[in-house]
Amino acid sequence: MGVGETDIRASRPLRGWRAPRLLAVVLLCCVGFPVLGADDALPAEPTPKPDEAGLESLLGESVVSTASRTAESESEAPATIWTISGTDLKRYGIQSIEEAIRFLGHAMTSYEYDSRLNAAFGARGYLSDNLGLHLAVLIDGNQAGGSAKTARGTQPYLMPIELVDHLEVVIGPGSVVYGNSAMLGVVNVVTRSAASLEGTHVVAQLSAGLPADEWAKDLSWGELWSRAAVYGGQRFDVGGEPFALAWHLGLRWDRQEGRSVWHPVSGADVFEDPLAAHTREDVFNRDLQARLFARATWGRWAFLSWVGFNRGTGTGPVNGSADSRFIEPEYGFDAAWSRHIGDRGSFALRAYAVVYDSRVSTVTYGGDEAHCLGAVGMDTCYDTVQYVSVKPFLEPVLTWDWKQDGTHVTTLGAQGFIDGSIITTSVTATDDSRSAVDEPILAPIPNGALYLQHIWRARFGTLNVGVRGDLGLLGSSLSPRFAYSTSLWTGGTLKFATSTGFRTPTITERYLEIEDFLTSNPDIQPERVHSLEVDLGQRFGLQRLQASFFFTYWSDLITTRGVPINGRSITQFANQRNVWSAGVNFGWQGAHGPFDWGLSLNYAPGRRAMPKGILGYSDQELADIRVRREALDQFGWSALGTVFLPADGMPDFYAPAHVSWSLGENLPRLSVAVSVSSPRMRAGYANDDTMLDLRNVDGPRLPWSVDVRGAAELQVGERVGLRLTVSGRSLPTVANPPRVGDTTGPDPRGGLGVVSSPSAPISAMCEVSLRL
Amino acid sequence: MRTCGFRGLLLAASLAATAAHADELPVALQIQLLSNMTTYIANMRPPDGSPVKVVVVQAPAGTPTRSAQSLFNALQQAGKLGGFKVEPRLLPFADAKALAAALAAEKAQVVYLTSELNEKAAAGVVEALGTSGTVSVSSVADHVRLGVVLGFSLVEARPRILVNLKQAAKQAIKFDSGLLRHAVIVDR
Repeated sequence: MGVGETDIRASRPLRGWRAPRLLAVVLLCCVGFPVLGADDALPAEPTPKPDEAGLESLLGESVVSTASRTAESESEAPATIWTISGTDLKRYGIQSIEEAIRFLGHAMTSYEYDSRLNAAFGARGYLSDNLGLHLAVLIDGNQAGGSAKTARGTQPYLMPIELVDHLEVVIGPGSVVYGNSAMLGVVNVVTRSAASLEGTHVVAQLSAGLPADEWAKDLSWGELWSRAAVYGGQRFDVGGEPFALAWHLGLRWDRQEGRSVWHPVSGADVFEDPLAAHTREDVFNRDLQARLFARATWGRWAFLSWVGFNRGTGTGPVNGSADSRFIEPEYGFDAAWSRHIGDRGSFALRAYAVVYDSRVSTVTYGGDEAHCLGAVGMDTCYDTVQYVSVKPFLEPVLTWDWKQDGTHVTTLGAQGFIDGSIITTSVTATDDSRSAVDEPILAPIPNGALYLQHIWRARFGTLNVGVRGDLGLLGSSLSPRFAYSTSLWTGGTLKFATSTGFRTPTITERYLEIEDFLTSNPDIQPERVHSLEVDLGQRFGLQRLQASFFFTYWSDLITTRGVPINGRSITQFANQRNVWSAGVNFGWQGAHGPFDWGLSLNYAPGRRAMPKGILGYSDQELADIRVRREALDQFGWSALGTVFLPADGMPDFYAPAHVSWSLGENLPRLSVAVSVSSPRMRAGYANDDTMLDLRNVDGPRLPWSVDVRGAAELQVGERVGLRLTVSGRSLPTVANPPRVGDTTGPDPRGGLGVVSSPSAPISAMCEVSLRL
Repeated sequence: MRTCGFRGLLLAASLAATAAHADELPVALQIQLLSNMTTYIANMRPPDGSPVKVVVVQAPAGTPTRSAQSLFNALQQAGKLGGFKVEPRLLPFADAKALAAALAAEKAQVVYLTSELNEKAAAGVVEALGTSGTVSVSSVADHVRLGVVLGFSLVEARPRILVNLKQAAKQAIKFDSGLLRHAVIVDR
């Protein structure tokens, strides 16, 4: 080291923060470090190295808006959240929300459960096969067309797959902002903007599967469906403002699996000679579905609208024979307007409505001569039900950013909506010559809700506190939520959340009366769910790990019971089921080089708590609560003085996983998705004496099951895409029986078995897409 | 009734406010990304000892400025960008000429555009910057198409960085090529 260098340094003014650095240099020199040049002695701010790991981590952070109705990083959202990209939906040939959850989801499980592709969803110990009533399915935040009474938001034809940007899946109750039905969680289908779609696109798909029904006559019993969609985005000027339009027209035709439906012969012993104790009906359901969906933005306005049409023949949503049929048109419109209020607030007003018109014609298997003669004076007839659901919503939302920096943000929202129904029933002669139409039942049920949420982002973490009150003729509910999240270390977060959800009884559950069969229940209350969870998250680079530990209590779930009226046991809907669950959801989403993947491991056992003292109940008391003694003997276990039964249809363990591998530019991409479920009980097993009978060859427990889907895609040039998917499932039937015929039927291997809706054990789908 | 409803629509349409873009990143995440960008883009780093000067361009006077104000406040709260002290400043946009003069006086490293600026104003900011080495950044993806150098957007719920390479070359903006591995190039 030269003395001169020291002089040079000394000759420079010592400016504040540089003094320690100079001192350090001197000290280093004294201990014999290499010589530094004069220019190095007081270097300018060193050029920082690009922080690539930090950038990857930031770009891997999901931005979500469903849990608190405001855009926020996933790490501070007040719930466990999983996003499924639109790219993955297309890559794995996903057709519905149910398939997305089954193959690409996390913490939630699902399966198709009846012949009309309705779906069952489960999470945190409870599985709902009740027509989607326990899951809020939204399209761009619109609540009207998603869940409701028919699970139609979960049906394939209602999701414009190619237009989906991503799905946000919020696990656990979300009634604090979404009210009714948000019990298992909330699935928000977020669609793409017009700007992200260049030009017009066409996609065509064709799928065929092998038959699954054990009584299938030949290969023609397998499923067959095809689908075509055209979609695109346009931007043009309207009144000096850009008008951006994204649109999608989809058409799908289905010839479902052939199925043998077994109708029991009255009085016959089904175990004695199962084949002779049933008559057989072969059914091939056919559906035609079409939907036009549009999303537009113009200045401060945002619009959604759709027209849907679904027509089908066969069994399924109606409890009739193969000759039954239905038509279901649906119309939806949504307009939202927003503006800033000063420099701190914003106000949005949203008005939306859905009209759902279901017209069902039911032909009773074997006919009902007495009924037809009484109604229309003919030997043969069919019953019709027209159910028109009208749901207009009005939703003003005020958001106030108290300090103009996002540290204190309050949201005050209100919701007014009408759950309107018009039900018309009639009986019509088979030749349409006569018809007897009952007086229409009008039920315009008004509902109101008010919610308040405050987000406090501070150094100690983020607090999200909210409460919502719902008031309606079918029940009132208060839904609080408290959530706290904090950053533990770089990329590491800890969340704590306690939340609640509810579902109000349906009009049917509350009011319907059928002489000598069903009575109304004026005391029926909303179902409730209470959840407590601790969530640990870690992001590093493109990897994201998540572990949620939860405890959930489902109370006052509505099922049927028997009540004595005039000496007879009459069916009534009532709050009489409680389910406990505690477990863990572990999720991992990541990418490395040409691979990207997702893995979800879930242990979420659900146990139904029986009433105290049930072991001492008489047979009639057990029959009234719809529980067989055989169910208690075979599957019941006691803890803390309570007898528990496994929850219907819900596996204790389930694990979806997927991995995708790009072979290189201009080469195919290969993808595989797997969904594994542990054994689970068939729905309704606890009250089914035939299923519980030890002579039944299947029994009520379904074995381990695996669903697999492999996909290969190839881009040919800039405009053409090809995709091939092959799906397989180890259990070609699902947990629920069909809604027609008997729950059991003769087994080809001999004896009596459980009848379920068949789904193709192996199917293949090919797709061609084209950008015009 | 119909007339009242129509008038209501007209009244609503005549209000000057602009809705926040649905695909905009939360402000905190924008600042984290901006902070990270200082390790990639040499022009964003100040001369030794100086703070990073960030000019947040407000919409013309009389229109809402909530997003700009939020960003300004959050920058102030953050205090630093990429290890450098940050000095944010709000500047209302009147026209390109006035802004160019103001920016010349400021000697800012970064000019930040928010969603309240319409396309005309965004184009005006680009014009004001000319060939200067100041890095323009926007929270609106469409602004990059208009000549803003760097933009943030949201695709499939994940943040994306957009880079207008032509504009960057025109302004002689130097950045580490590694950035392009993580960015979407917009050259129009």
